[in-house]
Amino acid sequence: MKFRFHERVVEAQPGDTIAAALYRNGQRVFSRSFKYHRPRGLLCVSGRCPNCLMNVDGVPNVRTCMTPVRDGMKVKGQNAYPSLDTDFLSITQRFDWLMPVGWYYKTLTHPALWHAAEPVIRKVAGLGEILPSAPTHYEHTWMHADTAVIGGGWAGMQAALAAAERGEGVILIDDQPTLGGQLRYRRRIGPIQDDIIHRVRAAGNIRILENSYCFGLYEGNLLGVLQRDPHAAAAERLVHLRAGHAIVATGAYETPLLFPNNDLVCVMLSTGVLKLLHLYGVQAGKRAVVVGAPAPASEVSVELRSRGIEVVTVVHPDAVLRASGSSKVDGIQTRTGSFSCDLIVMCGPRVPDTGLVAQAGGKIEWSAAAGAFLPTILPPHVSAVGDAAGETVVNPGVPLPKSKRAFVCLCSDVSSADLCDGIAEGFDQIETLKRYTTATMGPCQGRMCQLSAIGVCASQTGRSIADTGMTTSRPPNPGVTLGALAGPKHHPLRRTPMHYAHESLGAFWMDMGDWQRPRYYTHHSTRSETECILHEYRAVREAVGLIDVSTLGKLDLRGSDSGRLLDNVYTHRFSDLRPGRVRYALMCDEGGVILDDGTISRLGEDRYFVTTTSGNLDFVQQWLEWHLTGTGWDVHITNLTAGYGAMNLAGPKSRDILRKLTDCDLNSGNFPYMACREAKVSGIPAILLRIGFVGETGWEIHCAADSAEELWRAILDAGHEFGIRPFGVEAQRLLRLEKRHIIVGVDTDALTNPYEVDMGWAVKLEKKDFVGKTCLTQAAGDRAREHLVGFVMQGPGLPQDGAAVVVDGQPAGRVTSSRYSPAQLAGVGLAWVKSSKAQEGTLIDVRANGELVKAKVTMKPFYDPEGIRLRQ
Amino acid sequence: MKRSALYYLQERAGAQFVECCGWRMPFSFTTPELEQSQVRRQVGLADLSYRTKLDTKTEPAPPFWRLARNHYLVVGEPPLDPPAGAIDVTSVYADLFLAGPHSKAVLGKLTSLNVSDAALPNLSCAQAGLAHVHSVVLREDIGSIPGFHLLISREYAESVWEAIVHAGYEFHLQPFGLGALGLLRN
Repeated sequence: MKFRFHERVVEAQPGDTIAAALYRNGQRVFSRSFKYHRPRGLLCVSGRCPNCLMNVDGVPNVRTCMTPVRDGMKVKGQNAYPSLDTDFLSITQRFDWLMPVGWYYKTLTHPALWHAAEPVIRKVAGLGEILPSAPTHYEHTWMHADTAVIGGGWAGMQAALAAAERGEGVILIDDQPTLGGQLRYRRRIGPIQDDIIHRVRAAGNIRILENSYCFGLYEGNLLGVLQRDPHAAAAERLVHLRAGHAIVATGAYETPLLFPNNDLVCVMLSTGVLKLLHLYGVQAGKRAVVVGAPAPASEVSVELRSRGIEVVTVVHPDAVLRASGSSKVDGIQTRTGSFSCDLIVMCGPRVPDTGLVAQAGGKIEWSAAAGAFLPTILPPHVSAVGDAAGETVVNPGVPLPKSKRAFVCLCSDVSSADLCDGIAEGFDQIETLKRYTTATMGPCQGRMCQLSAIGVCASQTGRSIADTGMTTSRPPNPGVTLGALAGPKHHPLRRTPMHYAHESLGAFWMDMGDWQRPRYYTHHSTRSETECILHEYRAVREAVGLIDVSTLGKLDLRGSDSGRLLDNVYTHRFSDLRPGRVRYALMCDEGGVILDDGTISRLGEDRYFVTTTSGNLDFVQQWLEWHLTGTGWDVHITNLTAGYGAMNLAGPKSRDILRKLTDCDLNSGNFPYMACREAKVSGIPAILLRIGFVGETGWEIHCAADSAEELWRAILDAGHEFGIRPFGVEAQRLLRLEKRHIIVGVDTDALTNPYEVDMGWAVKLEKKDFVGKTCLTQAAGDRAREHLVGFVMQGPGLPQDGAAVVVDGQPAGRVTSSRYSPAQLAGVGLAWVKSSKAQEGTLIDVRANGELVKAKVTMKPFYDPEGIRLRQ
Repeated sequence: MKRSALYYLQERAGAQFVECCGWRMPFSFTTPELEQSQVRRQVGLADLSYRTKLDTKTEPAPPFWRLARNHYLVVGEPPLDPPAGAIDVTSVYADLFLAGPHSKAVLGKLTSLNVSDAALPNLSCAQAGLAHVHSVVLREDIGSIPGFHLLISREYAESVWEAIVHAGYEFHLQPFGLGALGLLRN
């Protein structure tokens, strides 16, 4: 396998991670540090430190020590100019005395200074850059298990096997490419290894998620798990795992020791050195110095020697003075002398990984005996096993820095001196110190630095480690890409049954919520949007038009108490509505504010057909159900919105068309305005409502959605000889505006009551009780402060929706809708004004195109004010 | 002839149509034999929207699906005698039938609902969000092949179908028609 690293082609062996292949091929510098651009090399080789973050195939901050090589991948370093090996910006470390911790809070106090400095700081400091065009693919999936085990080491596998033997369904999560934990690289445990891994793999009820890490343990034992590269199509998959019981077997990880230059390239943790050696067959160096307490140091020395690495000496951490070297380590100075070497192996304190336990609400406390923070109180249905519970962790006392020039936080270049400065400035609690210095807040989320930071804080303030305490562990830890959290780019779309008919008619689409609706239809003879809409308008006013209104909410109410429920919830009365009649319906809340409007038709003695606005259907249904709850009334509410296609046939010739398709008597004598009938149209059973949102003779026709497209085409065919045109939402908006019909939510807002929009006629205050009666009774008596009025522009220009209304130089209201009206040959609209101006003929100023234009107030519709055409 | 919400999508996918109970439904996309073996080995998706669905508040004669207390669905091949007081919701719901050994894995990518055998055994039902859309999930296996009827409000049918096909890509999901369904049931 081969991949590209900058301009170089690097050869990899099977099973290699990117970092292992690069190291084998001589690459030692893997990143440049956040602030000082110091060269950094491999440290933990376990995906826990920030040192190996690179850009892989356009994705920034990839942990290369955990990412397997794929043939042909492109890998680049980050935050380095011009290259990782030669970074001119490393000059910044010469000026570190100018940039103590928190320096920009203190120096860049003037906004102008900050604005000048910010772009430079952003360029110089930081991590990888996001390429918006990077080809990534993210997925979500949900899983369920009786028991989830986090960690595939010895303890995790034992716990999984025990649960499986009890007959539970188990999911075992391991962040490594294969099970085994430290069994894989600590050879002395040897032969038991294969047996237990084999038993786990053979168990039928254990599902293993490899290459996956758990980044959060949330309420109700919901585990956030990130699974990398489960198959070729998905780069990352977010697993929502719900588990009855969570067993934290995350083990313990090694953390660095503190001595000057402890961040030099080729100063590595013993775990990292052993992993390179045993997992990838890579010698981290030729001449090594091992730093550590006697027991772990001698174990590591034996392993290194057996694999041909010369161990120059073993040094106790207390004896180290400093590491030396410029681009990489070349020696170490100790109390007993100086040694030259090309590798320093740190056997640092081991920290039980208790983050998940803490997130779930467990208590983590300092144990002096173990020299570690251990879980003491576990949340319900969560347990900790193995090294995460501190079973084999014994740290011989946390070594404290002898010098202040040791790096504590590698992520953001915070040294022990910076921490001491922070404490001297008064940030002497671990949580405030963390926020002030940003230690533990970088990509490693405190894994490398938390214990050291606590140690420094404790020794500097003279408190014990137990009293100093721990910083709060919050998810996600480790970090998760935002793309993985966002998931696949899928947004549900709603399409009406006539969708493809509109498409073949040249619909220009618009989104209304999740619905797609034709805004207008492009036409071969006209091109501009305005012209298309005007043609559609003319067709409705002069001949006939057809619009798809399937998005209307449609509810079917059955049962003997249906009228009673509607009386109670809507402002008008519906129990006295005669079968075969339709009534306008207005719904208000307890405060008298308009919530929704629509029509209610009585199709039978115990059967009502309720329509709602498109966006409010769910709410209206819930509102009705809520007011039905506990009454014991006989009402059955069914949402039939999707079941019915609906279209509005409107215009002076609509009757001529419909007559061709139905036997139903359409004359106004038998089928007057605001009546409804059930009849077959073109052989398709339908509900016909004679209503007129657009102000012409017309019928709203509802039929089963599976036949709606057929009926739509049949009506267009039958209407051909009468000049029928389909019309879109834009023409409908203009047509209704000329009739001054309001749209709830566009012309009304969250405070509007019916009296302010001249709809007091739809409120029956004499009803015994209904939702909003108290407030509406009061509103009916008071003089409204504001009023929705119509206006006709007296000059050129058209105000935009929301434009200001000005009276005597003072703001006095706002425009809610406005369009050019072909009927008035002028701009018309609806606007909120003070009640004193709500009189026929009053002149107001409206802001249009940046100028104030005179407009005349009218309280009547702009078109057919008497409503004669509707009733013809 | 009635058309389901997925008519045009299936036409684009190369469906050969057949009349079924007054509806134009896909008979096959390739051949019924290929499709049925695909369902037996992997996973397949079919549109069964023509099936009658009745919504009722009083317990009907079996077989029925109990959605909630006092809320039942009767679903079956037409013609179906409606129980008294039932409302026909056939047109409201598209019926997407997902079947095959991998069907549970595909659903796992679309819904938080636990569809394991223990939580949702054969002939049980549940309601859940599926690809961000409310869905009634009816488990109805064909013999030993796990099967799920996903009742989706009609206007969302195309959107959900596409989400299922996308999620099923790694499991080699293919659409199947009434021809293959007939072979599977025999």
